[in-house]
Amino acid sequence: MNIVKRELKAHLKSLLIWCGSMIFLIYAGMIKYSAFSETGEAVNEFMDSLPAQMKTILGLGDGNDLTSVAVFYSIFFLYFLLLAAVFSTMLGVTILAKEERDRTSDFLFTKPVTRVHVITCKIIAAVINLFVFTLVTLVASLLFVQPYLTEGMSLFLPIFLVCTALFFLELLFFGIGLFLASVTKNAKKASSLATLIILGTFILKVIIELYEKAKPLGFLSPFYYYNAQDLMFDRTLDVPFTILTLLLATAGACACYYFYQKRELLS
Amino acid sequence: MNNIIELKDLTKYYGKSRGIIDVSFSVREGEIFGFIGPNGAGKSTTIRTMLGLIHKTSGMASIFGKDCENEGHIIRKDIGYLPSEVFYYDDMKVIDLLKYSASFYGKIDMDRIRNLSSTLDLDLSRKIDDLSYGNKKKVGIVQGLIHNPKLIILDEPTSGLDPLMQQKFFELMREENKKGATILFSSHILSEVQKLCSRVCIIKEGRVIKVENINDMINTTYKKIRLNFKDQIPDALEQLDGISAAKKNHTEISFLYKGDINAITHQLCHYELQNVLIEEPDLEEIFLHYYGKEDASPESRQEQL
Repeated sequence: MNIVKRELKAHLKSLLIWCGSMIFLIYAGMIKYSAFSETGEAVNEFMDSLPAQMKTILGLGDGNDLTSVAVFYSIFFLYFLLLAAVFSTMLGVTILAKEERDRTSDFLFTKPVTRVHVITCKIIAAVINLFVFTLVTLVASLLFVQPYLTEGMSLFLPIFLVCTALFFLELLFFGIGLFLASVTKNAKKASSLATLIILGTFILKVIIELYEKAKPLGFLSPFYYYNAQDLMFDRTLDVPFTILTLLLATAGACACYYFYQKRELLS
Repeated sequence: MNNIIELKDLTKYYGKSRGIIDVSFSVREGEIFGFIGPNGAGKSTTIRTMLGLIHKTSGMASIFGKDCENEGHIIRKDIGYLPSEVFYYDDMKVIDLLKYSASFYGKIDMDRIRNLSSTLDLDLSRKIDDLSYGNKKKVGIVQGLIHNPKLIILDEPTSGLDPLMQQKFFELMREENKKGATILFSSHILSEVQKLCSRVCIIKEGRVIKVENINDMINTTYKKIRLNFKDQIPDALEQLDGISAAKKNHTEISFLYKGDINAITHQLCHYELQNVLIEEPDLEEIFLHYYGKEDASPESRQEQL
């Protein structure tokens, strides 16, 4: 428990900064929405005039009414996801790799604890971080969307689903981060690989959206797993992809346990 | 007496490069055991393998009769470790770090923390980040002793400590030893090992050269002597027993002397000297002129072991 406490404390500052960024993202987005909804139809006409590819990249489906708050919010999903992906992957990398980077591994791993125990504590602390981050996203979303809701309209369930999907994907990216930290030589390498993976899988998602033929590759890009429209309007979580997400997250953690056991902690 | 540490043919390669080869020695309960060798000889590698930070290539290492690799977490309950270079969580205050460290061993003994820190003049309220290297080292010492370990492992502990602090540190170690702690003291400075230890293991280029009683070693101890004569250097001087590696330069001569120190001082009073300097040779010099010859070939090295 002492390690969990320590990790929570050590990551508090960065968690606050990331939560702040998320709140700002949602706030700024909804301000934009208020402008959109006032402009009315002209926005949709403008959007329609954009090439289909452009719209895909921006996360706009076909024929979406941007003056509807639900549609507008669903577009956020992609941006949430990008922010969350960076946050979770980096969390996975640093929570483990920082011990060697800051050369504190001599301190921690000469204590009467197994490496398995240390990793477990770090995972617990990190999952709490991810949970708080997602909770803040949920609360901020509900709060900032509220003023634009018409009477009797509730977006609680769709937004809740969006945030649930977000949380699962955070776990997946966190798993990737842990795995990278356990197999790469140092934190720097792990971070640059992490950036590469986030960027690569994101570009893959865009390619898939643009070329139908690439669809079978969808499982390779976590950005592709959940579709904002499904979450918002069909109000369902894709079950196979949810299973895949959680499996991959677990696999990342297991690989990390395995490789970190064998790791040589050099000073 | 039981053996606290037992190493047998412990070997560690980093990929293809040598770490340590066939290191064997044992440390008895209640002993202050020196572990000495030049930089890069494999002292830290041995210690880090014992602590489970790195994994051995072959051989056996056990502490308290338990295997270092498989039962490391149990062994480490009773080990206090001071690394050669200390790095701690910069965002913490000294007291927080010490409490965190103590929390791994069960109950936090605040009196012990306060006593140790006041002995070493360590300010508990300062942030780790703001500490000088010497002060960080003190944090390391306190951190390694909080839980009254049965075995204290010190890896070059005195670097960064001023002489006064070194003195206090040695006293502290003697006290812990009196209370029953066994100490493994790794260093490249022969004199400080001689001050504290009863037995030493000498390691060079990854191999153990000798395990010796310190008393035997003192008799074979080298002194580095430099003499400045008023006129010429007397020839008779070089004929003396126990002199090696002599270097002459006009009126100055320097050499390594091995043997009874009285023998040479008696000799020296026959000459008119301008200056005399007698100092501890560094380990490299001793290795070069003493052990250097002996491990010229693998066969002779075998004999040594």
